[in-house]
Amino acid sequence: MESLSIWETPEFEEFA
Amino acid sequence: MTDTVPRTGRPALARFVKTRYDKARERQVLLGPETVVTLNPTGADILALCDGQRTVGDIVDELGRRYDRVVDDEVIAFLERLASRRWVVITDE
Repeated sequence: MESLSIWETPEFEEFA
Repeated sequence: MTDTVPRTGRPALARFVKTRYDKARERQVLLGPETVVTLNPTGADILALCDGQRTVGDIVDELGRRYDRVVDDEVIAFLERLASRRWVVITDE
């Protein structure tokens, strides 16, 4: 049985 | 351009952005003109599925096979934010 990843709210952070 | 991403929409990365793995940050990043965007693992997974072929519904279904749960609204909100920055283009035909 393949283990499932834990869901996290998808996020991004923006940064010459 | 609509404010809400439809489940039948097919998201794809914009032509002027690309993704790569940033070893220093240990994160997938999106590179655009004059910007670097770090993605958390869930965000990176969503973006990797944005191939212009899968619909938003397909992406949610695929995530459901990988995660213990999937919050549809969070996927849609994430795509809306990316689309508002024009990093993702969503076609709905």
